[in-house]
Amino acid sequence: MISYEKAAQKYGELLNQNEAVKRLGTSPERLYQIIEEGYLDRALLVVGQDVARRPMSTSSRYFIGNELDAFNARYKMSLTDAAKAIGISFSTLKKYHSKGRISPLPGASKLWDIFDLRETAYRLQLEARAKKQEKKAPYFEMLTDEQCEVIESYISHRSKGLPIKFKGLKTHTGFSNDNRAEQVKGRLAIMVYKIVCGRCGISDFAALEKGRRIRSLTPDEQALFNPSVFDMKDLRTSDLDFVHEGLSGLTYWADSTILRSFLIWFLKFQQSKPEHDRFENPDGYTKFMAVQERIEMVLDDLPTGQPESEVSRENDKVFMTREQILLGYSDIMQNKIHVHFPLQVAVVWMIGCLLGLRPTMEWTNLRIEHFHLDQHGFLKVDEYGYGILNFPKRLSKGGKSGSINGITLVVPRLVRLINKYLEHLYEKYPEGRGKGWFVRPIVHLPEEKYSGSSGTLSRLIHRLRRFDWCPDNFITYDTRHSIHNLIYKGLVQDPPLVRYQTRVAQIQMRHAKTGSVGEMYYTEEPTLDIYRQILDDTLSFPWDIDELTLWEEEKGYRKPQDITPIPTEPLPEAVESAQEKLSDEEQKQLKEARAELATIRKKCPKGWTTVAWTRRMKDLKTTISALERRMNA
Amino acid sequence: MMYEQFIKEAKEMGTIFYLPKYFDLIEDDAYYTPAQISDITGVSKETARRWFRKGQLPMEGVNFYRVQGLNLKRFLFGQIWPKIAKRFS
Repeated sequence: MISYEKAAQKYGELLNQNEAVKRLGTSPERLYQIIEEGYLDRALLVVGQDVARRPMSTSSRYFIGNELDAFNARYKMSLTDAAKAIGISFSTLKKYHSKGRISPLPGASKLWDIFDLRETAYRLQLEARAKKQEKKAPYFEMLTDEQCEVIESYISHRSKGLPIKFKGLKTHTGFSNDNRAEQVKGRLAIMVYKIVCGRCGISDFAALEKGRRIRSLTPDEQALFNPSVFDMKDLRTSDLDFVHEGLSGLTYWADSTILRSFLIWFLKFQQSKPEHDRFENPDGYTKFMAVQERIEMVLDDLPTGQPESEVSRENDKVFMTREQILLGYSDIMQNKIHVHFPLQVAVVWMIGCLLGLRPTMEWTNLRIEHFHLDQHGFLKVDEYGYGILNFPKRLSKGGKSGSINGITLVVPRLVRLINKYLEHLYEKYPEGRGKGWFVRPIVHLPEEKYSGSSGTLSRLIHRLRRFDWCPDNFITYDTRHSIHNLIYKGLVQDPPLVRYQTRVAQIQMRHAKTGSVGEMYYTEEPTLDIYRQILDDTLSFPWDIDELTLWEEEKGYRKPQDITPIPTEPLPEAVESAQEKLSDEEQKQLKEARAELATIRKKCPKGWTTVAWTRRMKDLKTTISALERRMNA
Repeated sequence: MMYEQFIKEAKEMGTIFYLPKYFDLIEDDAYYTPAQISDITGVSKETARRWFRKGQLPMEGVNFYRVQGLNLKRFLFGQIWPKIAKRFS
């Protein structure tokens, strides 16, 4: 046993029971329980056994402050506190708890060890996600080995970028990225699955269930389902009806382009087989000719162009104004679209509108490390507040649309928004600082990404359509249309820079250089300074609607607001020389407005309501500032 | 966070909507009595008077309750900041 003073010297801060209860944010009864169960052994000093009582004190035990803090950092008294500490929603943890997947520490005190909890909950989330992914592509597993082999061979051949040609028919080579290869494989598997269902006499097989997936087969239908009824060589035009079932015109068209490429490869693949050689095996060759004839009939029956509704959209693109972009941002940030993590959707929206990343493939392929970062993992800025994105070619559309010369400028306000978002990510998952997918379905799983074809983000942004400012025909790709339009049609203030405007629009869009021979080969690229100056005048606009109005007036994008005349008696006052820029009537109006404002701002006139009084002051101020701006122009 | 700092940052980031709508009804350089504060914010006149009595709202007059709009905004902002702080930052 040591004296209290020596114990204080040895262990640092010592707390009595009341102080310990406060420090842990619990009740005395709960504290006793925890002590009884032995979880606080390291923090506890028993009077008369470990330490002498402090003079004038009645405490029977003391608690070591540091140990108590360590306990507090590791154990939480409730699941709510644990959820906050590990950054997983309470409802998710509650679900796991009710299913018995997680449980508190043994004992009546029901403490949650957040170290264990974090590990278990992350593992469960990963498992759930993997299960979800599995559910997404069950069709491949339902096909015969031969069907799977043919599809795999096609994917493998095309992935290598080898040419696919057959008697004047040719198709794409290679895939834009690995995700696309997976998508094509999945779509082909679904097509074969649908043909098998159709041939087996299963009706309504393409109906959708929850999650917009094709419904599962009932046990009776599963008994009927026999994939061997379909052989690729036996494809007939009537099978296209099964492929078409449940698809919109646009999806059917998209699927038919996949099928067309596959069938051209398939013909070539069959032709190259020795058993179909014309000279070695004439019978096999005759059979192949029959297959070719059937498949050519199918190819003839596939739609050749986009459905009419989509073609008309070409002339129906939406080019958003700056104000519409900000209204979208504001609605998302206020969570009017009802999402779990509005900041993430808002960042995606602004990245779409100001960096021109393509929805959804490029949004989902963006990684934190693609930005130029400082040592804390936040965007590094230049002296003007601009950040830099280096979006790699391999993750862009077709592997061809990376940042030109490794630089896509990020306007200052977007830098701040991205940093705010990153701060949120790092707070939830400090280990992921400076790395991981930028947009992710689960914040604390930085290496889990949305799939490239994920409609989740675009569906969220589609929800903006219900707001008045958003045109009905808005699609997420219009974010990209808008940014080009804003730069290309922007009013660049410095005349010599105008000649670089088209090229800067291309650079921000990550488009290839186009133009005349002179422009292509004999024109210098804009410097970083010119690039920034053009963005200053086009994309680096204020994010406050009122300030945007002033900015647009200043840059010449809009005429100064109309000034509503204010009917009041004129007051005698000397006319200032600066007022000469205004007409007589406007000068008179300015004087009257100033005089009235000076009178009413001190006291609400009798008989006026507070709201009417305030509105009047606002109107007067708007008029005065508009006239003053014109006067100082 | 101070009111002015909030306004500066909120305008910069386009997030001024975190402020309740009644802030639009308060002019920085106008003067407000308890009745008007009650009209604008929805609190009772007595509550507004109590704010003056306790010195939470600085009085502009000697023997009557009146506060300048900017000071009123600063005070009201102090009241709502804990509620909006998490969303804003």
